[in-house]
Amino acid sequence: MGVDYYKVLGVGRGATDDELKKAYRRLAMKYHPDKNPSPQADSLFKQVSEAYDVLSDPQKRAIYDQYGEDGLKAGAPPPSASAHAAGHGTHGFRFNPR
Amino acid sequence: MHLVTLPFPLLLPPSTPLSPLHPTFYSREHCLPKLLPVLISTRKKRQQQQGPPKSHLLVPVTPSQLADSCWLSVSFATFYWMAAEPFYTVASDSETTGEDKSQPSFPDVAIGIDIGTSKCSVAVWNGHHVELLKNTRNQKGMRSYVMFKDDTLSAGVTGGAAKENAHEERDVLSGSAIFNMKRLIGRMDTDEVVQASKALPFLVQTLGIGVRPFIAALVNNMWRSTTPEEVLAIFLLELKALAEMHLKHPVRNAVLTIPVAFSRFQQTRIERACAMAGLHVLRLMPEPTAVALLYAQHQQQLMHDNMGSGIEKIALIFNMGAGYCDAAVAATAGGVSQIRALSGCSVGGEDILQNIMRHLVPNFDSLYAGQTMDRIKSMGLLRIATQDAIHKLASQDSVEINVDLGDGQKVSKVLDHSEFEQVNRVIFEKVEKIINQCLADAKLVPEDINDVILVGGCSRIPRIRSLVLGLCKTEVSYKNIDALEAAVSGAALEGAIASGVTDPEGSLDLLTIQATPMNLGIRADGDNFAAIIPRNTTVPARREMLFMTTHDNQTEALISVYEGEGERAEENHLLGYFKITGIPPAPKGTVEISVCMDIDASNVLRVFAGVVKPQGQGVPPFIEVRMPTLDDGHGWCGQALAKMYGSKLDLAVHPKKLQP
Repeated sequence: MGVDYYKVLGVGRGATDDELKKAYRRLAMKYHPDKNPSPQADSLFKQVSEAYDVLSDPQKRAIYDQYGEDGLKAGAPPPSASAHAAGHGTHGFRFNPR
Repeated sequence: MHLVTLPFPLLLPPSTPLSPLHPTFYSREHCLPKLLPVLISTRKKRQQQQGPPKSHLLVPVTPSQLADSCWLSVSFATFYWMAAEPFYTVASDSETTGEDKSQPSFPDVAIGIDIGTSKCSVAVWNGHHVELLKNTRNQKGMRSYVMFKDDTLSAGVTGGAAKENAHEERDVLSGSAIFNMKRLIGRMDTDEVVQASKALPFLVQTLGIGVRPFIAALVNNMWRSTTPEEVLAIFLLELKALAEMHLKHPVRNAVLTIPVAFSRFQQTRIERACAMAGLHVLRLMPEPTAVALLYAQHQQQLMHDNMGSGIEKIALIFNMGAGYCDAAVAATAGGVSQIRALSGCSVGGEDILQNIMRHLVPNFDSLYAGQTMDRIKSMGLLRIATQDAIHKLASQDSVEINVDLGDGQKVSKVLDHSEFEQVNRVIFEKVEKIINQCLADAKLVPEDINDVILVGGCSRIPRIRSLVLGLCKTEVSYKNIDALEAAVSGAALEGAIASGVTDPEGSLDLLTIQATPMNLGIRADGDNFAAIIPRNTTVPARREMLFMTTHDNQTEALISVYEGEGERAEENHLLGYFKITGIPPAPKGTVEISVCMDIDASNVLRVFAGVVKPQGQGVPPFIEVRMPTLDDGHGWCGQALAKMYGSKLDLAVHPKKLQP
């Protein structure tokens, strides 16, 4: 089921807002392309930012805790019924750099 | 990587026809076609004979930029080829050689440039601190204009001081100078900012059909045409020369500050103007975020001096200059400044000035319709008097305006604060909207704000100060920042950081985490706008969204990329479009198409799109497109596409069922 955002930020599932912020700032200093010239830094930073974006927002964090990464894909209104259900997460092609 | 190599120095006497400051120099037609073959062949020959050049500037440009910018860069090189040692190369992917790796001997720290609507400044990290550079007239803030005279051009950097008589404000308003470039650049003639620019003394001609306006300066009683990009390039060339004179080495990289409200298309015009001036844009920073970086440095300094607590501080930065107004909320701790929200609009001191001018002369528009020499002169007098009055009102309760506009027209009036505020009510409302939106987007209430930082020329206006401070429920603004130097200082800091400079004392252990100011998405679900990267997303960023076909056996889909805040696609700014073809025939809704948007550290936007379901050999390869691809006529293209294809190539947002 997608990526473990808690692991990306190196925090526990019960992490407080403050712990998240500290972890994010530390990782940003490490991976932001302004600070890290390596070609991988860009995608690592994007991943860290995505994780922080979700976990720092109580609403998104709740959806993520319940449904995982797929529950958050933009355009997905939370629990709405739809005819097309099958096979998410089975795409052969993934854009997210991981 | 394409590289255009420029010679150094570029400090040529402006009177030589081959000087970049000479008007004939910018004639594109006469430069490129004749010279390009010569250059490339000569380059190869020289390389064989001598190896790589010793002193040169490498300006990385993209292939699309190359087409537009190389003519100018090449023509710089041509001068040198004709005059002296041929220091130039034009390299492309097919002939890139090891020489591109040669390191310049000078410390390659990007300079910081604040191109203001009214004034510009340049600053650089000198190894210990940020230093603002002064021109020969001992000014740090240099008036932004380019003066067109007979056969010479001169920009506000030197202010004509190199010659016998320095330019004065009335020369700048004589019709011979182009200014307010930042308000005109990358705007179409239907834009209200362009329409308002018709009240300027030079010629701004519009046809109202969605193409770029025609602008011209008065030279010997004749309008000579130019473009905002060209004017800005000439200005930047003087600015670059000033920096090179101070630093005693060539400058090639720059960090520029831009308004939050700048569209991606406008950003490309700034980049193009820089390329024309031989500058490579390392970063474009929204103005308030440059100030946020400076604030982060201050907080870090307090920490080192054991005066700060090290806890996160929230700052609201409000910037209002002559052309634009913007706000940012930044959360700062440990030298990291994270931009939580950005908002901005194209409202500034110029609008205040025009409101007051129209208030003083109620028949302003009919009086100054059609620019004759008399009217230009008269309007210049009114402008100077009004500007002066507004400045005085910042420290006085009321101001008396007495000006003879000629032709029997006189203005004699006492203007006080309440009248001033009444006349500019709409502007203050817009400021209020910007601040409230910024706070709402950052999900904060005024009580969360630790510091309110006011910068830009208009932050001196008492009503603006009280308005912003009132909205943030505080009495005083942050003290330790110079309202006019903050943005350029932040840009110079970013220049040093992004160039990889470190400071042993730790004063560069800083980082600004930027956010994107506008929604980026595509047209979907009919005429709706589906935002893939929502505004205020941290950048660099990558976001993906799934779409599906809307017709049975639909084999093609049109991806129209927009930027903006409107809910309907056409209310936003069209950046470009492309088609996905060869979609396997299937019932509607069963084909899944993924659209992914990526913004990298240099703020380049790439869009990837393709079929993700069904899978297999029968589906076409993905398409990657760098945006914006459109150059002109944004409104037209959207209409033409709608007329041609209707809803035939439409996509709909994929509704996903959640599976816990």
